Amino acid sequence: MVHYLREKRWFIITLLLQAAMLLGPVPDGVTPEGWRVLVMTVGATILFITEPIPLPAVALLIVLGQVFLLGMDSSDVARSLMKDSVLFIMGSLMLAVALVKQKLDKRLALLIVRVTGSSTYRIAFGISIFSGVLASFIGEHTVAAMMLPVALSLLQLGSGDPEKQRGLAVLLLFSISYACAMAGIGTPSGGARNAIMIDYLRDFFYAPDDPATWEYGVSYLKWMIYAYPVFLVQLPLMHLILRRTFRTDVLDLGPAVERLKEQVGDEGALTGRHYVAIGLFLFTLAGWVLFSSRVGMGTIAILGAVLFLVAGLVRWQDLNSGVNWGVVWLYAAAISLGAQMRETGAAAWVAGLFMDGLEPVGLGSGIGLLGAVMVLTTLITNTMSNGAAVAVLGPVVLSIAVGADTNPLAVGMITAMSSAFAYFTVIGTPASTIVHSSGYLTAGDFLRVGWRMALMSFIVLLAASKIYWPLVGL
Amino acid sequence: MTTEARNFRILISIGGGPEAYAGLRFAARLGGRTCADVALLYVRPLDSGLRTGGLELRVARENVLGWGLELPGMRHLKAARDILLELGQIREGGGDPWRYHELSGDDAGEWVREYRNPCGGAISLRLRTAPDVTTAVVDEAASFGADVVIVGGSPPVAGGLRKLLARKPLSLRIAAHARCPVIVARGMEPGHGLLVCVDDTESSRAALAGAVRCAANCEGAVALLSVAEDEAGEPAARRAVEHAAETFRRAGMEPVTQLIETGRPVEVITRLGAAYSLIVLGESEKPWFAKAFSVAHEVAARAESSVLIVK
Repeated sequence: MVHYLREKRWFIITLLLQAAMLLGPVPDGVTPEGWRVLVMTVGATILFITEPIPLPAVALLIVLGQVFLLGMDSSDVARSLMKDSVLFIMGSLMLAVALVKQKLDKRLALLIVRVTGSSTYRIAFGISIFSGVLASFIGEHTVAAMMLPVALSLLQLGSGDPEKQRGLAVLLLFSISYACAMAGIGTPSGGARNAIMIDYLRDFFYAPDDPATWEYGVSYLKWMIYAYPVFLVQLPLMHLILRRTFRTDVLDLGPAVERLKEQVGDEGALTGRHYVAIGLFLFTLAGWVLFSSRVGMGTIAILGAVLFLVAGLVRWQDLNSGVNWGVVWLYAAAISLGAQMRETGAAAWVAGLFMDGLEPVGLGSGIGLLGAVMVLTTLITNTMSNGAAVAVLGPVVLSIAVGADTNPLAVGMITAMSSAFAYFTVIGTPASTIVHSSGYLTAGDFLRVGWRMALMSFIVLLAASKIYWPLVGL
Repeated sequence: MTTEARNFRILISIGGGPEAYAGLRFAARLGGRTCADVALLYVRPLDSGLRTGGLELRVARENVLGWGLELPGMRHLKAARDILLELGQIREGGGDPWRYHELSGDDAGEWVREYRNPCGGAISLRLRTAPDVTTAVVDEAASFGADVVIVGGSPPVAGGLRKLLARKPLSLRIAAHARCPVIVARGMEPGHGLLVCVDDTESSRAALAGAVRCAANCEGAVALLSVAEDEAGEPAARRAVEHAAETFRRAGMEPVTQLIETGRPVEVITRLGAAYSLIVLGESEKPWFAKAFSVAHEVAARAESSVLIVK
């Protein structure tokens, strides 16, 4: 009983807090419906962070809350769950599993060491570049899952001494995870958070019959123009920070590289199956770039997954067991709740509270507001997944932008991009969680290097918003 | 099987840190003296799909396995097995194949491999997945019928904000929840004796039986210590030490030192305890959420030596 209560304590605290909020008076300036949406949002946020119950159950509770607390029609609730961003999340997760199953990672490892040679730091930078560029298009979890054994092989072949292995591990594994996290902002398909923000911008501001609002229908290429240079600038700086923070005694991985080449050489050359997989991936990528504005990113992602299935490159059983469908539900419910935040005026009310706090300290508009939003998003995203952080924060920050006469597109981009700055915790980004599962990294390692990374990313992003974005019309 | 016929049972929670392996060496030595059954447990927390953005971590793990690499749980258990081989507790290839156990409340169940040590005690390697590591270790201790749990202690957390923000270490969470005695292992270098800390309370006297049992199983001399917060408390401290000395004598062990000190108990015990292999304290009667503020748990958090909390 004690263990049960200890495990469920955050669920009990959440219920008590929600009951107190519901039974107490509704604050001035917010409608009763808006207050109930806020009660649900507060509860969902606490449960996202603390996870006392299975996360899909949180999604189902949101659905039930919309019907029983908000009095919505169940068909309307069901309709609000499925957006293009949710289709994108489903499709990109299926693509992720399909790509990992192709076993292209060994060839990738070979390519990296051929380009970089055997110097440890060059290999680490090479891993960052390859991981980053790939993750910017196909999602960080895919690349982290593919690159994890590459790094583990190199460090285990590189030294038998556990101390030296750990020194190599922090350098190589963080080269993967931070490169993936930074790259995820580069294109809309880099992460669920980007797709969610694109959906929010479209829902909040886009009107097909009003040309003045068309800029809020962010295309794939437009996103890349705004975000990709920010990733490219961060990448070498990230490598320098890692080199300074985690120095290693093993400066040459020559013997490890040779053994890796032998191992991979045994696998033989690329087969027809591999070429088809690469072709389908490039086809999907081209679909995102050329057609996603017309048919939606989600549709292209689903098309890519279907093509992998039809071509027989992946089994449905693999997709079914490799994708956590409960998380798809969770994103769907969070986005639906976000829409309710906007429609009931709850987002605007919370935004007003933030503005009341920001204006007196000179952060109520312009670059100050962008900085404040960036810090707020960074704090939230370090406590939960970055997609969930954007789903929860999106309606509020876009309402803040409207109230502050600041370009909502810039605020939306800042929110989506700074949700990648989850450098302090293991749970902040999918790539961090995946590399941490290797057992070589500790939570303290993330703190040790995370603040340096965050400081660098803050400076780069603020500089981009002040100097670069005006040049490209944002 | 009667209680008398049953071997002493030691559960070691290994997370791979050097302290956990030190605990393992201590347990092997203890097991050698008493022919104990030793279980080595590695618990992996269940994956949260949200943390990996909806991609099951299994996909990454399968990919790692596809490269012929080992996952952390198996790596740590194999390292522990190698230490046992080196200590002569088990023979190469002498274990049963891995067996799967279904466990209530744990979807992934448990994988177990068993060996026999030279005196006939069972040594098992256990791999579990569970939503909460603390609960899994405590459950495993209960189902195994452990007489003592050994868990590697974390280095003391720095003060200030980091101490406030840091989560309570796993070893202290296990110590707070386990029903059997818990050793928070740090270094565990044998031969420096035991420092048994007592006070003039019923709970301390009740814990003496456990302390005597532990001293009988461990190597090394026994020193007794009682700390009075001020001079007025010295007579009570003296009484506690004399009672403890008498209890040890009745069990056939003569304490080599009897210390009466004045000061803050946590600081005095931590300072004096640095010279011993193991500090032995009775469990606090405070509820689990307040145990962090008890002398036993504060000492377990701050001591440089290993600490046994007797329940």
